[in-house]
Amino acid sequence: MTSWASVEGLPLPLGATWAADEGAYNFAIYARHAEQVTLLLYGDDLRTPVLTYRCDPGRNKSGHVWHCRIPATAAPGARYYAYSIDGPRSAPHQFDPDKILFDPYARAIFFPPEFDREAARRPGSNAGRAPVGLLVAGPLDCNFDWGDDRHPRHEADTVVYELHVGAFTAHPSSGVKEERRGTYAGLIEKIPYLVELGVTVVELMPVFQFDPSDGNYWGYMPLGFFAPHDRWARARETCEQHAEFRSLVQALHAAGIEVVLDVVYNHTGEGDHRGPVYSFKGIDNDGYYMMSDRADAPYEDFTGTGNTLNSANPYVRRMILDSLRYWAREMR
Amino acid sequence: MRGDPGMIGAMMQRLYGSSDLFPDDVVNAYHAYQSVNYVTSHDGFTLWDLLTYETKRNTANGHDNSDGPADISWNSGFEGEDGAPPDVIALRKRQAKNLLCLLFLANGTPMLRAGDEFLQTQGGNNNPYNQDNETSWLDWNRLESHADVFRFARLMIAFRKAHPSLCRSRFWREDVRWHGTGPAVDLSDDSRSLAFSLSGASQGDDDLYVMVNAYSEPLPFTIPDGAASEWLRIVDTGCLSPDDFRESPHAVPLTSARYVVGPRSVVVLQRPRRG
Repeated sequence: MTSWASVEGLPLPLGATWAADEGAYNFAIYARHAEQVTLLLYGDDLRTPVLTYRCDPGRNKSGHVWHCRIPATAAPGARYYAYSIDGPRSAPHQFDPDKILFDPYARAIFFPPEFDREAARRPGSNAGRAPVGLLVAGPLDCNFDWGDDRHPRHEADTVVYELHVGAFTAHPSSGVKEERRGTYAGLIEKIPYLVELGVTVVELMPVFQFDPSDGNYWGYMPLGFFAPHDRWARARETCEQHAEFRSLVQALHAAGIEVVLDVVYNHTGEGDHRGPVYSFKGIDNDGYYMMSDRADAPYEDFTGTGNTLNSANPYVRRMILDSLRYWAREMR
Repeated sequence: MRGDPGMIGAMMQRLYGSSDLFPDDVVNAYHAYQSVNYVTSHDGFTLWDLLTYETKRNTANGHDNSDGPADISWNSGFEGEDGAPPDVIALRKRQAKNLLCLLFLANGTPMLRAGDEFLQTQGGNNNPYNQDNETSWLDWNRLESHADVFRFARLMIAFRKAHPSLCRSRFWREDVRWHGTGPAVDLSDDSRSLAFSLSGASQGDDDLYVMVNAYSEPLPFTIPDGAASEWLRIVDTGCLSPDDFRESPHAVPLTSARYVVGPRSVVVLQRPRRG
């Protein structure tokens, strides 16, 4: 007899995960007010999905979570995934099935060569020009070999060193090989310097994926709370990108250096009502964000960044905690 | 270190680990390490720019120079780097060492902004959040041109790590004694001097004596504790490198309990533990 899960998918864990025993992906996304959730799987052509799956709320929804199970054989060549979501069009909602939405739980986000921030700000389709999630047909840890990695724990000898992965080695004077400048791998080359200086904790300015075109190089406008920023990796595939980040953490640990992340959970890079619709806005606008009662400024903006994540929503709180646990456990 | 009036109490509080913000009373029981000490972070001037600019130069960010914080900076007597007289450059370097020295002497968790150890500059831009260019990128050439400051930072970090008496789980409590140029601390508005002794015995560590002169003239300090010859002079930021930090085999015992601390300088003495 076929299992319920293999027919309907499971609402947990959220995100796209791999059910190895079935050779299938499980997709689960919170979208409380949505009336139609359509999963889109893509190969290299990001305008034409290789598979379009319209979730049936009668069997692909549990509580506020939409979910489905897609065998890999049903979507040959699939490398990327995204959603198209419809629902009430009036405020405070912002449903627009024309917009291609990435999964807030995506572990790697791909910005295609035709990526266009403006297309996500205008009415109409942004297919082929939207950031999308990458699929991984494998476990969360990508079978990364952590070896005998251990977290150093410093006490009286704690000296924190705050750095930006890009700015630290981007300059030619860094002495880092050109193809590694401004990357996770470039920072690895500087570990002997950190040891010579004597610092024992490295605090990385935000490494969560942000929009490479929004001009905020520091990274304080995050989009992907589960995705390391791709421009600081050389690879474009999820596991290879993650391996570059994990190798950095592993090498710092091996040198006796703790790693601390500067994390940003109070707002996202979607900005205010003039900003792009990439994900959260089109999934559950007033669920993810704190809304005001001012028509000309619908988003509460407590930090001058355009919007404010609504952590009073238990699903947003869950996302924040899931993200923290993910970085601490899977990325160490 | 800018020499502002009425700052001695505030400096004591920050060196102590900020028990005003993290009270270690019975109800709260905060640890000193929960307080993060820093002179600079990514928000605001770099350490060098803090000593070089009084006016931010953020026009490249595209907001008519309206963005970025209002830093509590001092240009050391000349605005900017181009054409700065040698004595201004020397003062800036000494001030950089003073700030690094106090950062790594204070109880609590120290945080250093990358590049400050070799005087990274952003040309006065104190908010280059959108400058993916040489404004933000660390210029590693400065590691060579400011090797003296790098050496000082490296040795201060090593000194801190060698003296767990400085960085404690708890506040310094009864192990610290506050002084001025004489035995008594001077908290008056026009005071520019502070000294303290930190007993290391409870931590199995050496005793330390620190003298801070934030005044523009030299000040004679008197060490009220023990015989002068027991104390080794480790740091004197009034001296040029490498005399600014003498590693222990080269540290020289004091010959007098009176020590003249140069203008805007910090001195650290060490008395080896007995037995």
